[in-house]
Amino acid sequence: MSNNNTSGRELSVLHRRRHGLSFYGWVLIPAVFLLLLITVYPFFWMIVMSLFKVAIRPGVKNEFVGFANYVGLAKDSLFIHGWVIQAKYVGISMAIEFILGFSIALFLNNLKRGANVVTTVVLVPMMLAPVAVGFLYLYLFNSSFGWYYWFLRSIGILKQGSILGDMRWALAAIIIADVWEWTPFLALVFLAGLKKVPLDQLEAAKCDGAPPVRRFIDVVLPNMTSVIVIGVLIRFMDIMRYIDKIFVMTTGGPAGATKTVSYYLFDVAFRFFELGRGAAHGFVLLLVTIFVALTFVNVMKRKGVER
Amino acid sequence: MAANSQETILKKRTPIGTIITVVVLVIWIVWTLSPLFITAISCIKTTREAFETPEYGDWKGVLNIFRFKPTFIHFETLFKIEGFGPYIWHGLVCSLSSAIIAVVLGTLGAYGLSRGKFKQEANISFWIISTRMAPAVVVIVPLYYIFRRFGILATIPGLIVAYTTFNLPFSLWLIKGFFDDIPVEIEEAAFVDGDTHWDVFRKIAVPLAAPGIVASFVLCVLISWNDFLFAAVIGGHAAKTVPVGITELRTTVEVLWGPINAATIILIIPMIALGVLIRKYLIQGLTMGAVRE
Repeated sequence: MSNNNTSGRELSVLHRRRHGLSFYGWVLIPAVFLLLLITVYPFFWMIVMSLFKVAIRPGVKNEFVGFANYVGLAKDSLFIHGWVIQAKYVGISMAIEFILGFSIALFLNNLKRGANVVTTVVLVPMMLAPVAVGFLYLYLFNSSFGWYYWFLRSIGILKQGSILGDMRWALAAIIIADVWEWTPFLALVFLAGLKKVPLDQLEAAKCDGAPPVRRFIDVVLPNMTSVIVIGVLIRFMDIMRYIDKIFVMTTGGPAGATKTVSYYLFDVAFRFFELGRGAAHGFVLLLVTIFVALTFVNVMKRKGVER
Repeated sequence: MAANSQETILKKRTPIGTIITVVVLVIWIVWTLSPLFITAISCIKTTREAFETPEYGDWKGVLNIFRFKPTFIHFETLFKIEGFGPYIWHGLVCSLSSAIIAVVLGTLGAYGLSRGKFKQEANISFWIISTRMAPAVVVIVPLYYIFRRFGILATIPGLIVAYTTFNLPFSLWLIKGFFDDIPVEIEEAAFVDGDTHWDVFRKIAVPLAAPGIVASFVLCVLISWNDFLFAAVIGGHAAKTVPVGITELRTTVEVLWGPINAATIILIIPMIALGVLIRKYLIQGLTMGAVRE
C-alpha cells in the first residue's frame, strides 16, 4: 500500500517549512479534527458506557456497574445464540456468493461482445438500499401473493406454510436476498482480478501442455490471491454492518431464528433501551471487526496490492 | 493488454463455450432483474391486481401478470396520505450536505495525506480504514447517547453529522488514492515555476483528480440516501428519510403493499442512475480503493 511507503510519491521541493506545520499538515487538520470528534470521541464514550447502567430518563444518574454488562453478555443465551445464527448467516451467504461470484466473473471474462452492458445490468442490486432489497424479497416470498413463493410451490419444493414465518426457512430467505444483492460485488472484484492475470504466464503454461484446470490452479488462482482476500474481507465487514434486511423481512423472528448478534444489539439498545449493555455488546462486536480489519491491512501490506 | 487475448485464461473459445456463457449470463440477468420487474409492475397496479397469482403449477397463468390497467393511485396515496414528500427532501438535504462536508474536507485532507510526510502516517491510515469497518449498529449506540446530551438527536443537523461519521473517512481514503495516482513531477514543475502550494493544489492536483472526487461524492450520496439505521435512530421524526418512511408502511395491523412498492421504486431509481453514472469507479469505491477495474 502506498500509505505506508510513500517515499516515491512525496514532493521533493518545498516540502516542509522550518517552523510549525507544512502546507500538507494544515490541509489535513480539519479532516482529522472532525474525525477525532465524530469517531474517537464516541468510541471513548462507548467504552465508558459499557461500564455503566446508562439511565435513559432525564434526571436519573448513570450507575457505575464495572464489568457487569460484560458478565451479563456471557450469561445471555440470546447473545451466545446470536453468534451461532450470525456465523450461519455470514458463512452460508459468503460461501454461495463466493462460488457464484467467481463463476459469473469467469463467464463475464469469457464474453466477447456486450460485456460492458451485461456487467452494468449485473451490478444493479448493489446500488439498492438494503431496506428496499428487504421489501423486494418480503413481497416475493409472501405466502399469498409472492411470485417466488408461487414458483417454489409450483415446482414442488415447498408443500405448504410460509417461508419467512417458518423457523427452518426464514434465514434461508434472508440469505437468498443477500446473495441476490451482493454476489455482483464479488463477481466484479474477481473480474478485475482475472483481467490482471499475466498472459505470458498463461501462454507459458499452455505451451507446457497444462490442461485448463491445471492452468487455473497454477496460474490464475495464485495471481488472484490478494484480490480474493480483499473481496472476501470487505464482504465480511459489510455483512456484519447491515441489519436492514433482517429488520424488514423478519425483525429477528420467527422465535429468534434470524436474530443475529448485530440484530440483537439493535434490540438491546433501541428496543429495550439498555444503552450500557448495548455498548458492551457493541464493543465485543467491534473487537471482532477490528481483528478482521487488522488482518485486512496486513494482507494489503504484504501483498502490495495493485498499486 | 488486448481484451480478446483474455480468452486463453481457461481455454480457447469454442461455439459450445460461447453458448454456455450466454445461457448462464442470461439466467443471471433474469434472476437479477425479476425482483425489480415484479415490484415495478406491481406499483402501477391496483392492490387487487397486484395480489393475483395463478394456481400453483399453472405456468400459462403467469402471463396474467401483464393484464392490468396502469394506475398511479399508490403514488398518490404515498404523497397525499402518507406524506412522503418531506421524507424525500430530508434524505436529499442530509445526504447532499454530508457528502459536501465529507468531500471538501476529504479532498483537502487526502491531498495532505498523499503528499505530506507525517510521523503517525501509518496510524492515521489504519484509523481511517478501521472507521469504515466498524459495524453501523455498533457506532450508533454511543452516537445516540452523545447526540441526546448535545440536543441534536432527531434533528437534520444531527443526521448530517451522523452520516459524516462514515462519509468522511470513506472519501478521505478514496480521494487519497486518486491523488496518489497523479505523477508528482507535474506538481514539482509548477513549484519550479513559482506557484504556491495552494495554487498547485487548486490548479493542478484537484482538476487532475476531479473524476475521482466526483465519484467519491456520488458514492457518499448513494450510501447516505440508502441508509436506514442512522436515519431511524438518529433522525427521528424531524429528519425521517425514505428508507425509514417505508418501514412505517408495514404496521402490525396491515402491510400497505401498494405504497410500499411505489416508495421502493422512488427509493431505488435515482440511485441506480447514479450508480451507472459512476460505474467505472464503483468497485474501486466499495473496496476502499484496493481493487481497480
